Amino acid sequence: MPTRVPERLFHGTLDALILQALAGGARHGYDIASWLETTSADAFSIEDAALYTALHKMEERGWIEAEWGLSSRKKRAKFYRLTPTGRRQLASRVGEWTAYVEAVDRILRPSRLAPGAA
Amino acid sequence: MNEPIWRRVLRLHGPDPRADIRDEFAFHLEERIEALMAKGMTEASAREEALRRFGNLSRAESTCYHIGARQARRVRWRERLESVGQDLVYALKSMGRAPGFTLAVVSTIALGIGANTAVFSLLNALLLQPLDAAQPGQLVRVYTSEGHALRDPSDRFGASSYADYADLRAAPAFAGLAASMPLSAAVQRDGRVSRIEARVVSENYFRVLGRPPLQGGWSTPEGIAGAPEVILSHRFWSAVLGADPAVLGSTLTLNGRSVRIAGVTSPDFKGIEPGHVDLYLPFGAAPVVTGRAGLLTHRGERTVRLLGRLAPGVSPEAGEAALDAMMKGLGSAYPETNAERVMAVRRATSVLPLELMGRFLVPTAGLVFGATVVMLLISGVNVASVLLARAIRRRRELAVRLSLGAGPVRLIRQLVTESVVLALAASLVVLALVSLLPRLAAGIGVPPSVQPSVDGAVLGYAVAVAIGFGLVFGLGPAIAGMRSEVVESLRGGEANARPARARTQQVLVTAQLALSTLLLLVGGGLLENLNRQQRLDPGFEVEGLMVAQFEDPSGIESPERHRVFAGVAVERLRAIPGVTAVSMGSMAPFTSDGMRSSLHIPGYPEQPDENMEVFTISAGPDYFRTLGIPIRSGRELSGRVPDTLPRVVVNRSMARRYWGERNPVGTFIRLGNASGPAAEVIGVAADARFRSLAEVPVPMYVVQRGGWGGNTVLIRTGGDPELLRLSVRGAMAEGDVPLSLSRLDSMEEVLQGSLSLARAVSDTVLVIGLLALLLAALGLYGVVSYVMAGRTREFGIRIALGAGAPNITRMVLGYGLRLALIGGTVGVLLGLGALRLISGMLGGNWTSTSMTAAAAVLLSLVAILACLIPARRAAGTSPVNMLRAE
Repeated sequence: MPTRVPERLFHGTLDALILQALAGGARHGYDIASWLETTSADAFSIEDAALYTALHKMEERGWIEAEWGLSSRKKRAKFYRLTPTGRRQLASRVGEWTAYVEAVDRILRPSRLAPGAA
Repeated sequence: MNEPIWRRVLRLHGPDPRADIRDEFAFHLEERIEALMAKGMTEASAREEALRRFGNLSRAESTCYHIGARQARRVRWRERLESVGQDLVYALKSMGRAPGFTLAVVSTIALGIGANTAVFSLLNALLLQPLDAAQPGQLVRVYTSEGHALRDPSDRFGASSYADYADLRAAPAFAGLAASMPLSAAVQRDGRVSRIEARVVSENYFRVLGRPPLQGGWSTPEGIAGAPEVILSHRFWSAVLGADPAVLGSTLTLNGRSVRIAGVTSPDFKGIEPGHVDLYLPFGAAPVVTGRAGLLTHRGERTVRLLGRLAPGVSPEAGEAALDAMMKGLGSAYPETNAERVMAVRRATSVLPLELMGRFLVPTAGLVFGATVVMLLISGVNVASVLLARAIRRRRELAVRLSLGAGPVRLIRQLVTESVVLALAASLVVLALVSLLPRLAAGIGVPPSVQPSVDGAVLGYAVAVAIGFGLVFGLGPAIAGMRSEVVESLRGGEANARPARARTQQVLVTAQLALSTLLLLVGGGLLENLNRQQRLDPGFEVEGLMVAQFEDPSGIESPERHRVFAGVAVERLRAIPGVTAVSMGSMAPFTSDGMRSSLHIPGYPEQPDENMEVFTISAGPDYFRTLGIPIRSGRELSGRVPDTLPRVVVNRSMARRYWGERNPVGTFIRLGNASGPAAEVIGVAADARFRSLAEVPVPMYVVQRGGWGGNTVLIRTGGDPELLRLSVRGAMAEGDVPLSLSRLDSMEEVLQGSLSLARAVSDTVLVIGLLALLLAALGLYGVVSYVMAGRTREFGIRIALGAGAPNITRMVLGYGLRLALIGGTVGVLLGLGALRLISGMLGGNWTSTSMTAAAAVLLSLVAILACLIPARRAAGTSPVNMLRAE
């Protein structure tokens, strides 16, 4: 089992993770949850309640839109899809995250990014 | 991804957000359980695990529900706004399609709300604007009064003496307490004397207001550095002294005394007095400039008005209690003057102090404002009937929109939106016109402190009145229009809707006629009362009497010099051919409210609570002869009198009040109180009206001391007052000492001036009444035309059967006059009631038979005119054409 990432670390990025999950097309809530688990190789375990609260909030902000449809096993499910606003939001979140990670990395592991200093 | 059909059916009844959330979560849990079971869990443990991983399910459900509800609300609002927007666009379009209709309605509404808004803007400036000061909410006015002398509530709001003020200003309940009093003074510049309005103020006046002068200021706390220092108002500095910066520090001659110009107020300071103030003079300099040596020390000289800024957290009530306690102390220290004085502290909410508000202003303002409200109603009724006619004409369009699925409520909203938009357009016109008022007011010399302006209050008022107007007078026609639409489509034809509509319009137009009769009657009553007042005998001879103000070149710091100069002036005036008598005194009739002072009458049984203050005038010789007031008994003031032996002439009312049947001539009264100086009563004069024509003669006396009594000059002439004007100026200027008189007016002018406000009010109400009658006539014309158009067939038949045109004309006129008769009768009854009410407030006898008759005649004439066109049209009905049209 890989190292579990504690929730406090990804808390601020949950929106970005969900938006990324929808980048490839519409998904229902359970689909998003299992995609996140699989893609992170089970490093995250996101509480489903938090996931749905985030989904509804983003729907209210107009980043994603929802529609009822049928799941692959022909059950009624609510599907979420990115709106153009959501897509822009995702791009800016990814940019921020990259800058953040690089900065934190430079501080916490200086040797790797500045080999000459060793 | 299509919605299942059952969900779409449900959506017809609106979405069910809670069920949606539950469905969504249930699906999630099922999927999870299935996945876990696929990994080999039992169903029970899979369900337990799925729930555990979900977390707090019920909280998530309620959070999501609230998010959804919030969003739904927002969407609903957006939709509502959009539909209002659509209504607005539609309203503007339909206004554009009928420009004639739009113009007529907008100008009718503008007439109605215009007069009302204009009067509101005046009242706003007078009564609602806070003082031009920093944090005006903390400012209060401080009054004193005799505790037992409160017959009239406005007696509570009396002035203070400076000596009392000096003791009270230390009160810790106040962050500052300032005193001021008006002073009309003569300024000498380049050899010319002009009269200015000064305000004597305590040196903390501008500090208490939080409005320091723009330039300069008093250099010492007393405001005297060698010479007294004055601060000019910015208006005086720029208008009279040409905004010359060099005048700062230079001197000016004020009442003969040299004063130094120490500062100028800032240009945006409007002043806090309801009149013009040209310059501010410190109290320290007041005794020499006013010639009143005791001004700062005599507690009985109550001519000072107090304005205070309360300390933080202190209420006016607490301030009043604090001052009352201090005044009690002063009362025991100075029982002669201060026993039983009580304080009143009231918020200074507007430029008008309470002592000026009560008796006349509020009833007058209420009357004019009320008249404009009535006119607003009348114009509203006109607009309502035009809108109704239009709604009925548009029934085809409305029917189409109804059949396209617009609900009746939506259509009514549409129609009301149109009337509100029309009213708002009218309010724009009105605001544009009202915004000209400030310039107009400044042009005719209205002091800046009371100039009307279009501020937030006026803007808000105009818009609120317009919206209210649109709603009230738009809703009725909209509903009636919809109803008649339904009625007609069911019964097929306009003819059936006609009687109902005609009835409504008859009632409305009768109400209009009644209201305009009411206004005419009230306006006429005011005018007649005014004329009656003018015919009243004031008790003195108006004709041939001139009034002027003596400008003393010596200043009046020396009573001796004043006596000499005034004596020279009187001699010169007496020498003018045609002048039969000259006198001087403290006031002339109708030029001021005069002064009351206490006295003691030996032998008169004074009640313990009796107010022994009597209206008093000081004067020199020949006062009564010059005024033309007959002496009933004893003799007139004459010759020279030593200061220590004053003499008085009392009027008939005073003699009757205090001596009854006995003749007071030869007896002595004491001025002030029982230990005051004794004055011999030398004569009894006939009663005369001194303060206003409306007043009932009150007890009064005229006292003669050593001097001339004051600076008001009375001149009686047998000749033309206009010619006299010239010779007076000449006579004063010649000789070794040039003297001057200002404000030389004939008594007739003074009299007219004293009635000018009442005249303005009655004229305004009459003009409003005539406009209202015009609107009512238009309404009557509309109704008669409409009703008679519905009887075209009947007229055709009558004419075919041999009825002559005069017959038909008579029928139509009879119909119109019947409405006018009913409206007129109701209006006369209302008007007589209103006049009764007004006479209760303003005094006087107001019932008016001639005005009632005049209003009735005017109303009938207007009614006949309004019916003439429809009558001629009806009489001209050709039976052949009528049948052809069938």
